[in-house]
Amino acid sequence: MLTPRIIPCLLLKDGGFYKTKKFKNPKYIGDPINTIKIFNDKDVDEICVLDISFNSEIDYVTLTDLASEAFFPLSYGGKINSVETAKKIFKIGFEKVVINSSFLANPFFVKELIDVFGAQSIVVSLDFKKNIFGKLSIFNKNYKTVNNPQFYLDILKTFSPGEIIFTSVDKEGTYSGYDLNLIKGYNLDGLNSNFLINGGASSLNEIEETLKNPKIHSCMAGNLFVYKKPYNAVLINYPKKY
Amino acid sequence: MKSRIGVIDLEVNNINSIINISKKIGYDVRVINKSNEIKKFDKIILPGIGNFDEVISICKQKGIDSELNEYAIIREKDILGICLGMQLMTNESEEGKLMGFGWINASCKKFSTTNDFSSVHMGWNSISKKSINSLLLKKINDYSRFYFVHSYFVNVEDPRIICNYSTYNKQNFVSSFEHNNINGVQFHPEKSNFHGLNLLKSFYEK
Repeated sequence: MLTPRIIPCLLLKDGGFYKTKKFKNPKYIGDPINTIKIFNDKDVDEICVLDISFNSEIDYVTLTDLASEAFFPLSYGGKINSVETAKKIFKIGFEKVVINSSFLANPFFVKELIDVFGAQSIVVSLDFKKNIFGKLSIFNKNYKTVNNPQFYLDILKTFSPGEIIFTSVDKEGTYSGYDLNLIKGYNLDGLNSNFLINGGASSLNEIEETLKNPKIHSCMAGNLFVYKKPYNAVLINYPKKY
Repeated sequence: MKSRIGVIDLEVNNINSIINISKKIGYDVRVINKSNEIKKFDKIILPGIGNFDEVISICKQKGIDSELNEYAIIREKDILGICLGMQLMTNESEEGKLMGFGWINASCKKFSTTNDFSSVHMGWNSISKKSINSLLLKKINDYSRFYFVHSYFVNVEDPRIICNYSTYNKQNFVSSFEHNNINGVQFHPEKSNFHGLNLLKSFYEK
């Protein structure tokens, strides 16, 4: 049986892993290599590494070290804006690249990547944020503009990437539960992709419940796997399933 | 003496994962760039991410196909195909028009798409009970989980070489086969953590 994946999402900055709240206030979690080694031992399904630094360069040194220790699937997102940069990431040992800003700037860049590397290797990440009227829009870090999510989802239907990550900016790092409206609230017919929900995971029970929805193929979480309640001390953890 | 193990560089795929995980279990796996290097190795891994026709074309251009044929069929040396590498060993694939290596009597078919299932089978899936005495899977329990990423699967004609099956979207497909020195796995051992380590170890020690 194909089991749904539970994917820790780790944020990379200045050679270290960080965790944010609502995309703000990055707090240091630990050294990437150690963190990856712990997740190896805990038999993690997969890990998603996202670069949140403001540097213009990809941190290939850290990514190479990290990939040499990871014996599970890895995806990477951040600053990928050409077929060549994506190729470098795959060569290092990552299975998938995550595209966000480059997709918003030029949606057909994703199609170009799919044509070269295959849909299964390409992940599109969409960040949803509520405006002052409570309406969800796509959050675009570069331009701070807001756009209608359905517009982008319809574009994605023409070339279906392997996966789409639906992240709630307002929920991220808050433990207040996933916002399932990110997936339920839109017309996804004809979108031949796996859907991943991210932002706000409160507990493993919630993840288990969420995965009962056949539309949601995998759950991502950050806080849940790096902090221990009630004081939010850093402690890498992962559910034992088998 | 440890056997000399090589992994074929097919340009489109990520061979570093295989080198990294092998290092972890004490094996120094070398990259094979030129077809004339193939004969120097005792065991070869044919990795696979990419498009069937594209990879077959690369093999032809570099002369890898004829060298591999000599290696696997005439000299009967051990070879392990992973994912697309396994599919290349068959006669043909729905993904392309070119012929495969034809080492085993099989063809590759595409998964059908339904509402809740995309045509890409991606994630951790279990393997069925072993149906033959497998050297590759001897250290691996039945129903263990492996990591898969593929849209095409191998339809093997001869049940005697099928090691086990997996199921995706109600479709049973062959997840590994062993035909003497020719081995194929649809999943990615290099990304399947402990079980992957054990499988590669068994191949290297075979």
